[in-house]
Amino acid sequence: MGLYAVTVIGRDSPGAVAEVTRAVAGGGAIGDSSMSLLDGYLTMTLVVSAGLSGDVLGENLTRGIPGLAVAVTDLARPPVTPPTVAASEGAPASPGSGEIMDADRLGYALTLHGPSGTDALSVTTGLLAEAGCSVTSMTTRVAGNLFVLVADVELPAQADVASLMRAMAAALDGFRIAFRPADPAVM
Amino acid sequence: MEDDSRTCLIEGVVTAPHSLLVTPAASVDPADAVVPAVVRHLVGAMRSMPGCRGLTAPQLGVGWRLMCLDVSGHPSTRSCSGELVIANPEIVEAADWDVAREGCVSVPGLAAEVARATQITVQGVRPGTGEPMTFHADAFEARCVQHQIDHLDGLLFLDRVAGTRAVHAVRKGGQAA
Ligand SMILES: [Zn+2]
Repeated sequence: MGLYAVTVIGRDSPGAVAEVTRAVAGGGAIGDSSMSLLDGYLTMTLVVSAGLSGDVLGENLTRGIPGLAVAVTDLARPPVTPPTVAASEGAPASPGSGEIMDADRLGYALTLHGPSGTDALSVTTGLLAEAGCSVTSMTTRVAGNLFVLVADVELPAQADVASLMRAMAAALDGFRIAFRPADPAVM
Repeated sequence: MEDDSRTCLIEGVVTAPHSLLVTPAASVDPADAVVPAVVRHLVGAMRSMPGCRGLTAPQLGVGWRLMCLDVSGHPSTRSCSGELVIANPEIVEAADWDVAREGCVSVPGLAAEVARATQITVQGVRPGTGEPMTFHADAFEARCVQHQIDHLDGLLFLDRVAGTRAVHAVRKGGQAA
């Protein structure tokens, strides 16, 4: 059984989401998925367990939903990374941003808004990465001249949130930036 | 209680998907001889799970309207009744809604933003004696009570999610697990 990420992008139309899910479900079982309209275009990403090869799954989907661009990525195949000294010495690899993190991380919701048409997104994510944050969910929207970013981020417990906010404020003149704690309370 | 499928006490906590989590629980006779044992188990289970602030009988396999909570020490707590165990609780007044993120030991791995009243009045009875009780809760204690009463009504926080962007995967070991 293979595990694949299926991405579907194209012009939105009535019933398009139903067509996509029907076609994908015909090839395998859908797990995590997200769908949104980006600037009016349908974008879907679905994690699919399938007994088919990725190539066959992709061909089936391209035939099943001809108006939409389909790409299939094999998630089970390990990414090709150059060997590191640490790896060759048998040391455990440090987790990347997509890895499961330890319990010593704090969840925050980051919201940012300001003028559109700037490099605010790359500046923000760059500063987050420098501070050791991982982004677990992110959405940006543009409405007229307004740019809005909402993200769920995880900070290392020892991270200095205040200095991160100061660095962001300095780099993003004219933007309102807010971090609020977003660790769920268990009930 | 062994011959009643609604009252089958289990070790551990029932996790979704499970029929007990989507079935309204039955009113409990507070004087039932089994109630003290269920209450002990309920409070013990809540205490045994780090970060757990409340628990209901259905989450332990018992389809009775019985809940416990203790929000002592939580940073969002204002009103605090300490450890409370209530049978047949009902919200009789609710006001001032607010949105915050919740997790649940029965829904490991997910959390969501949920709107809840921040001021509530609750009526119920004390397990054992059946003595009527009325109490007021606000802020985090009010949220926790509503979360537990939802369990008794067969609802999860997922049933009250505000929108598609309000559900979050929780990856940290100590949270909502
Ligand atoms: Zn719960």
